[in-house]
Amino acid sequence: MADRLVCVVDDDDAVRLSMGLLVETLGLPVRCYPDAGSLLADEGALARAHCLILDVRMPGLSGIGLQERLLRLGSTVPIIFVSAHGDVPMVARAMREGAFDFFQKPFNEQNLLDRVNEAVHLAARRRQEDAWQRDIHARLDGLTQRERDVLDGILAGRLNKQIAENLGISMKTVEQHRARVMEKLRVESLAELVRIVTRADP
Amino acid sequence: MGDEAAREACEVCYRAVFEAVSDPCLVVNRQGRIASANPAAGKLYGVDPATLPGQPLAEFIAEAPPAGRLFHERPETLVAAGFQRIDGRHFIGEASVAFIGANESELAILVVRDVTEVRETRSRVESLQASERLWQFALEGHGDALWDWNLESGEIHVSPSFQAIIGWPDERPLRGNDIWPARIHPDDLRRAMGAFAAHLSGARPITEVQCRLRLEDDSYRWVAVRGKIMERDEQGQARRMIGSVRDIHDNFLSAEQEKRQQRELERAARLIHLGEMASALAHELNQPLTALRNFSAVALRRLDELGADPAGLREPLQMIADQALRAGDIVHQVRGFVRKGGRVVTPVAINEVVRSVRRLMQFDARAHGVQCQLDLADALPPVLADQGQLEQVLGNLIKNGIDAMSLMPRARILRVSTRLNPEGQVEVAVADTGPGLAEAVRADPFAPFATTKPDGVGLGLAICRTIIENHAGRMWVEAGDCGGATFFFSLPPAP
Repeated sequence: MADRLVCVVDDDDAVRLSMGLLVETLGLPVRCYPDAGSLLADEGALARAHCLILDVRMPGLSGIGLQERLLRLGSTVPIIFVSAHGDVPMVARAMREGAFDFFQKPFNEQNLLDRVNEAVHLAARRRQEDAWQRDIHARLDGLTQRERDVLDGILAGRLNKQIAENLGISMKTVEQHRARVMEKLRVESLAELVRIVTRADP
Repeated sequence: MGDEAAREACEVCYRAVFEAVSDPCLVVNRQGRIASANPAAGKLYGVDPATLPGQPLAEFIAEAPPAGRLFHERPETLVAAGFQRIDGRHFIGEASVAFIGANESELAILVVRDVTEVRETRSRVESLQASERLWQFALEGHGDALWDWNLESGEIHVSPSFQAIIGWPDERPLRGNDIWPARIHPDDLRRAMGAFAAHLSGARPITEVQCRLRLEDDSYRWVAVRGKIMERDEQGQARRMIGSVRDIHDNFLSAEQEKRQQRELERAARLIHLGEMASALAHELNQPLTALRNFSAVALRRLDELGADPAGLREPLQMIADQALRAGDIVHQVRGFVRKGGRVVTPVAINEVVRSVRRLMQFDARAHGVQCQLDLADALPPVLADQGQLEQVLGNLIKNGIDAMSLMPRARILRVSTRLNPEGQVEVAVADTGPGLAEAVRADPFAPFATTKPDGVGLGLAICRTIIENHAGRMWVEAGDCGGATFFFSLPPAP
């Protein structure tokens, strides 16, 4: 849990402080920033952030502007907007850009905390998935071209004999490549091999 | 001598009378000629009376009947004929006729009077009366009631249609003072009497004023009074004034209504400005409200971690948290009020709204020593409404009631009751035992910016009424049974 950082950005001191205390009651670590720039400067925090709670209207970069910047940086961290101005077009825009939720100030804190929890879990799952994908892709990247060809044959459901014929190599060579693939991808069975490779993003 | 002497003496005597009387006399014989004329007759005709005998009567009395008819019909008077003087001038005369003697020697005695002046006066009076009747007819025909005021005697005559306006039961004699000032609305008195005074003094050519007149049933009607002095005495003092009264009540009210609509528009414009202000304020207010809510929520959660709550902190902390959200709702609604932002309309049980608002308000009530009683009807149909807005309306009414009673020495009781009224509407009444509506807001307690609170902006009731009206309902106020004020609103039941 300790790594599931929540970041709060709000220019109002009392809101920022109270928000920090509130999120802490969930047992999550919190960092608070008075403006978008300070958060962007804290790369370490951004890397760990599992949820951002952003005020919309702030001096400097607005919450919506910060959302766009983070999207361009490839961040997938869930963003919850809180605003004292519940303008419909603003809400619509934020949600279209993939905001996790939008609260109008003041709000029932329990509803917000529930959504923060959900956001953090989503982020954690995303991070796990990202890590796994990175791991699998690293393993796949470790295969030679010939091993990759053999793997494609296996995934296409072909027998070793057919693969050997298609590649113009011996059955024995196919078996050796196949063993190397299993070893490099760290799987124990054919079923496991198929499962992880099909789950990996293309 | 005897008889002869006596007759002679008598004739002398009559002759003397004939000569002496100031009435012109003509003696006419059966040939229709003047036999004798006295000096007064000469004077009347502008001739020497000695020249008259022998002249035909027709020369002196136009349209005189021929002698034969005169002596045959023997009229007692000859009237209204154009009598002619010798110089050709006509006058209007009439003559009394007497006959003496008999047969061929019979004579007619005509006593002629010049009635030109009398006749002309009379005909002038008649034509004046006729024109006055026409004038009355014309005015009455246009719905104007008339009055004719003798300023010397003070007496005033009013036409039947004036009587009809006022509703006078009978034709008892009236004096001007009985109408103005006695029947003029106190608020219009200065203006109305000023209009009379300005005309009487000559400063204005006419009296013209619109004012309210008290009717027999003590209600008031708007009338337009116009009057003009018709006669003045030698000193220029007004003696007689004639005028009209027109009932303009309905016209006046519709003009008033137009003015009121204009005022409503101006109010709406002000509210839009207010809406912009509210929008800016909303941001500023929502920030501290958010912090307030969050801090109290944090405190509650820490209290939860402790488990026990020996100091009884939970309830007040929860109240702080609730009130922060409520304040936020109000801020949003003030903005929504102008923007007509979407309401969330659901079937709402009004009794639940009453109970929940009472819960919210009970601290306030207790702090002011107010006892809050509920009298809720069972089995009320739900109403289609935005619950938050209804809570705001009810909260506002209850808060007003509590505030109204805060200075009252006697029992401070706030009674909230619900019922299905005879119109089939769900009705809520909030009754207080305060001092009743203040004079300043009595005319329209719902008007925006009408307030009696030193720190109030006077929007609460205006917003409440708008909310209720947006729900197809109605809001009104009545004086309470035992002092105080009772605010009502009614809403149609959900279909």
